[in-house]
Amino acid sequence: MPSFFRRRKLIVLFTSIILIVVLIGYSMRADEQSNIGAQFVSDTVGFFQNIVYQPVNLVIGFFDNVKDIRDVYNQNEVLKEELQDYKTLAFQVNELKKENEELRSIVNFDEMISDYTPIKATVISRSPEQWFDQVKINKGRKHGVEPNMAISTADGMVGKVIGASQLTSTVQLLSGFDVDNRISVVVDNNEDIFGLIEGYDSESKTLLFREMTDSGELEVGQTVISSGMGGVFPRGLLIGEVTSVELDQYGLTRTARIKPAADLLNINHVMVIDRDIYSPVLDQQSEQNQAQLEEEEE
Amino acid sequence: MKSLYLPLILFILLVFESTAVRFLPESIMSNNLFYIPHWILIFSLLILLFYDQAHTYHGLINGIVFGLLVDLVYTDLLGIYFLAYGVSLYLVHLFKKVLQQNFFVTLLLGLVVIVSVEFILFTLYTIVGQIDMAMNEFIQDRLIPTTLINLLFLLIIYPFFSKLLLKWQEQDLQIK
Repeated sequence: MPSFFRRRKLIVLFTSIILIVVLIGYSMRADEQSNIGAQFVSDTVGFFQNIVYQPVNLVIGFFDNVKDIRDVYNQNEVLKEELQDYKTLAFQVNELKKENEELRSIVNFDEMISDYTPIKATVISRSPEQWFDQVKINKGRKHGVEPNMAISTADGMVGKVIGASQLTSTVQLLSGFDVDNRISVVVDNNEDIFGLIEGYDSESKTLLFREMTDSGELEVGQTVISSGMGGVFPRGLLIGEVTSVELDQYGLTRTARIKPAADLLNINHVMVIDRDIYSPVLDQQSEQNQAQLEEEEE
Repeated sequence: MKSLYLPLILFILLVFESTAVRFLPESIMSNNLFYIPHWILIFSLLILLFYDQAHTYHGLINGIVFGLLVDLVYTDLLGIYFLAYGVSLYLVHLFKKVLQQNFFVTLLLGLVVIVSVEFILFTLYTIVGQIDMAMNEFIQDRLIPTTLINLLFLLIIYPFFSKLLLKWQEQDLQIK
C-alpha cells in the first residue's frame, strides 16, 4: 500500500505540473475573457466588487474630504473668476460647432475620425497584483464594450480595454503599456510631428514617445494627442505633455518622455471610447461576435 | 460541517483584496513600493494550522482554488498564483506535523509562506516575460513591504480567527 500512495502523490504532482504549463500557455496565447467560464467568474466577482467598492471609497474619501475643506474657500474664489471665462468660451464653442456642422453638410462630410460615442462606466476594482496595472469597470459586452477600445477620464486617456465579459471588462492602464500596445500619436497643433507611444517607464512615471518624423521641432511642453491612425482609437484623445526630449540610442530618431495628463492612481469614473468611423480592428471583432451568436442561435 | 463557511470567508477576502490598496494612506502609495495583499494565503494558512485535522486538506484545497480565482479575476495569466499558493501551503502542510500550534510558530510559518510565494511569483513572471526587474530591486521594493504588510494582517486576524477555527474544529470532532 505505501508504494501505491507514493505513486499516487507522484501522479498528482505530474498532472498538476502539466495542468499549470497548459494553463499558462493557454492564457498567454488567448484573451482569457473570450472563454465563457472565465467571463462568468469575472462577472460574478465583479457583481460583488460593484457592491463593495463604492462604500469603501466613500469611507476613505471622507478623510480626504476633511482635508479638502480647508482649501475650499480659496478654491472657490479662483473658480468663480474662471467661470466668467468659461461662459464666453462656451458661447464661442457653440458658434464654432454650428459653423462646423454647416460646413460639413455643404461638403457631404459627416464622418470624422475624431467622432466617438462615449459609454460611461465606473471603476469597480483595482488589481491587487500591481505588476498588472489593471482595473475593472462595470460595463461589458452587453453595453457595447469591446476589447481594444480606449478608456479616458475627463483629464485624458488612461488605458484600453483588454478583456470584455458580458457585464464587466478589464482595462489595461497606460502605466502597464509595453511594445505590444502602442498608440499612434501626434503633437497638438503641429501635424508634422507624429510617432508612437511605445511603453511606460515606471521609474520616472512617464510614457515613451518615439518620433517617426525628423522635424526637429519636438519641444518640452508640447501636448500630445492620439492621431487616430492606429485604426482603433479616435483622433484627439489627450495623452499628456512632453517633459523631456532626447536622442535615441542610435542617434537617428528622437524620443520624448510624456507625463500622462490623467491621474493613473486615482480613477473613479471613466468613459469607454467607441469610435464612430470604421475601425478595422473593432468592427471585425463585433462582426465575428455577431456571426458567432447567429451560429449559436441556429 | 463548518467547512462550508470557509470558502465564503475566502470569497469575501477575494472581493476586498481589490480595495486593499485604498486603505493605505496616499503618502505611502506614491513612492515606488509594492504592497500586495495575500489575504487568501494568510487565511488558508490559519485554516491549515487550526482547522485541519491530520487527514484533511481544507486549507490546501481552498488555498489552491482561490489562488486560481485570483489568477482569473486579477491577472492576465492563469496558473501562477495557483502554483505559488499550492506549493507554499503544501510546504506548511509537511512542516505542520513537526511543529506546535502557537502564535510564534504561526508568525514564522506566515513569513515562510509569504516569502516563498513572492519568490515563486517573481520567478514565474520573469520567465513568462511579464516583468523585467533585478533581484535587488525586487527584494527592496516588493518583497520587504509585501511581507511586512501581510504579517500585519496576520497579526490583526490571528486572535479572533485562531479561536474561531479551533472551536469549529472541536464542533466537527464532536459531530463525528
